[in-house]
Amino acid sequence: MHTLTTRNCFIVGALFILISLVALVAIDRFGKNSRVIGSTGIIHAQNVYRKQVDNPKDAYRIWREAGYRGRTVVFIADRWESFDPGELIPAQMFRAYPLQLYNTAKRLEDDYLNGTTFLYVASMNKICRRIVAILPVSEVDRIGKMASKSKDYRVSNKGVYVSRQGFPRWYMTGDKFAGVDEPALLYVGASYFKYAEPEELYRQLRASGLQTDCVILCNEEGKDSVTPKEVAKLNKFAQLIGNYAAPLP
Amino acid sequence: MKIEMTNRAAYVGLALITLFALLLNGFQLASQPVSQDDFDVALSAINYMESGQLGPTMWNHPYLRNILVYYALRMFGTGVLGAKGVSLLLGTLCTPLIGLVARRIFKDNRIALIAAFLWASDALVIEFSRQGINDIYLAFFPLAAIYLFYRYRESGNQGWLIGAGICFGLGLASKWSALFPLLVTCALWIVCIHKETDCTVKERIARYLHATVLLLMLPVLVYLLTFMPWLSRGYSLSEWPALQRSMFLETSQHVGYKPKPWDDRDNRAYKWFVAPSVFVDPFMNMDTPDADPQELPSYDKSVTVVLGYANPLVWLLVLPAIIMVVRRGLRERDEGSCYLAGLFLMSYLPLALSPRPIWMNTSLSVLPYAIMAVAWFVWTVAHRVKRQQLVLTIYLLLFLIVASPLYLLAIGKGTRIPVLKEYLVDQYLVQIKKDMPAGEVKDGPKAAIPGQVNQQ
Repeated sequence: MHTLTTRNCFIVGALFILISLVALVAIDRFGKNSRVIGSTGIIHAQNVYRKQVDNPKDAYRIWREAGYRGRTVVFIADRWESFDPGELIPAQMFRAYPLQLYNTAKRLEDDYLNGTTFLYVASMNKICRRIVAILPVSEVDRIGKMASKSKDYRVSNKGVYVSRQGFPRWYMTGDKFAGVDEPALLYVGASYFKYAEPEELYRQLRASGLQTDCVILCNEEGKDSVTPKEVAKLNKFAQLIGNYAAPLP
Repeated sequence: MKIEMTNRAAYVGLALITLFALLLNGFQLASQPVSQDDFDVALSAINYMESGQLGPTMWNHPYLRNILVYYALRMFGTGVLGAKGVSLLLGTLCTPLIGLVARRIFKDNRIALIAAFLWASDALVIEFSRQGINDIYLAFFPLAAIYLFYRYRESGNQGWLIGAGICFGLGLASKWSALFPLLVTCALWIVCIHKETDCTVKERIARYLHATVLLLMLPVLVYLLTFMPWLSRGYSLSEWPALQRSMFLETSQHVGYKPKPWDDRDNRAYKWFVAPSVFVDPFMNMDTPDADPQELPSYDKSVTVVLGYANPLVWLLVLPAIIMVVRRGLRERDEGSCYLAGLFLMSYLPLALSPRPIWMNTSLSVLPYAIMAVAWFVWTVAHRVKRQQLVLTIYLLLFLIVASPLYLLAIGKGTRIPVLKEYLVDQYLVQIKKDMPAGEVKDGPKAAIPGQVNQQ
């Protein structure tokens, strides 16, 4: 039995279409409004926060303390460290009620934060929602070959896209980097300068028009591929972008 | 002589069968050891709701379970009700829903009661009503939507149709296979509009629009809303399709999250209704706090083997029953039969034809329609003989006799049955031990497992 009139059907249909459109806009805004961004500019702008740190854990702490959220991280280093996040926290053999539960993101931050995991921990803790990695050619090639093991990947002449459990990651060389469509958190590891000169990277980043609010330069202490030579080049890069000390948001 | 059953008697019967289902689903649930899946479901709920994260378990399926389990944990704590209360509730509520839907499809209270009874006693249904994972949702939400859709058709009150759209959306937000009953219901509704509307083109268009909005757009919107915790990580709507793509690619090529140490062959959907099949779920739980080596139980006592055996007296009747339902639908132009056949075929064929493994937990998206068809089939066959009550009673008794040991296996008590213990230990425990770090230690969990616990 159908008691609705034609007019009613149209009204209800139109009403729900309108509600759906409003909901779509609201959902989109909700996502975008969840991002926390500081004062932005191009990499050598005075209002951009800059800090040189010894290791990636310090970079993570700066991002955390600043309250950055929902961001794109532009990660620059000599290699992409691979590990299996599922193996970080051992399977719990003792499981009884009441369950001893935890927030994985918090636990990783407390117990498993290190130079390899810091980007993963940042993604888990809502600091970043996608990563663009600028790497040497050989590393991008290696990742391109490894990518076929993933179910969601794309390899093009611009670089490699691989998603892990829906988390998007792009890998490319500095000359292919064309910026990102929003202000990013920039991380530059000293190890990258084993394969590139500071002036070259500076020029590429400037040419890309990259907007940022936080530049972290990391000495990557203890990393096998970093020698004083790479740190000196990192210092040179720091001079190129200027030694202003804008405050964190 | 056919004696009609009053609606009141049918409702009382349905209520009693529902209580029976609750008893079966809830019996000693708190003492059933917590599996890794149960634990991971609770963790995933916290991760999703507090951090918008998609793991650790089943990241490729939509996330309604995380939302429901999270609020259950908030309401009831981290005990059995918090971790499994949602599955227990939805699994139990499927019983009256099966009855109510079967009653509308076949317009017979007794078929409805038989269907509810077969559902309530099915080992696989019981197993998944007692687990945290969300396969039982796949039976509940589409059934609830179909029931509400029927209520709308009976009353014309579009509140029921909105309810149906929301339930289909919640089904989609559990697993994508809810799409199949949704499409069949849409098709039925479009056919009905076509038949029932004999006026102007304008009226038809208005009703098609109305149906499209409430049965397609509304579910999609509900589905989208369940992604809010993920969006809270800063994602915009334009990034959402990329996530759906990743989820789709994983789901369409899924061969398991990690290799299973035990033999698990029943993962081809085309076999489910032609050969005895089982869902295998053995797990270890060193159920002792503080990792005290002196207190740790032996392997034998730590293993739980949950086996969801398909009751052959129901499952092997499914295909003949469906053939009969299709025949009836076509011959008699019976809407209910055609609808049920459509629901079954649309839900089952994509699984049966899938090149990837489909484990039996997924059969819960098909089983409600299969069981309704079997209930009708049994009733129809019994109806053709002289002593139909006797035949039906014998069938149901035989069904219960077979279901009883299967029930013990489904609630993980198989290793407590002396005859089965040795078989189960041989079959599964030995394989699990091989896969564990202590695998090489012949009988040595006391030496090896505490170390693993201490690593945490």
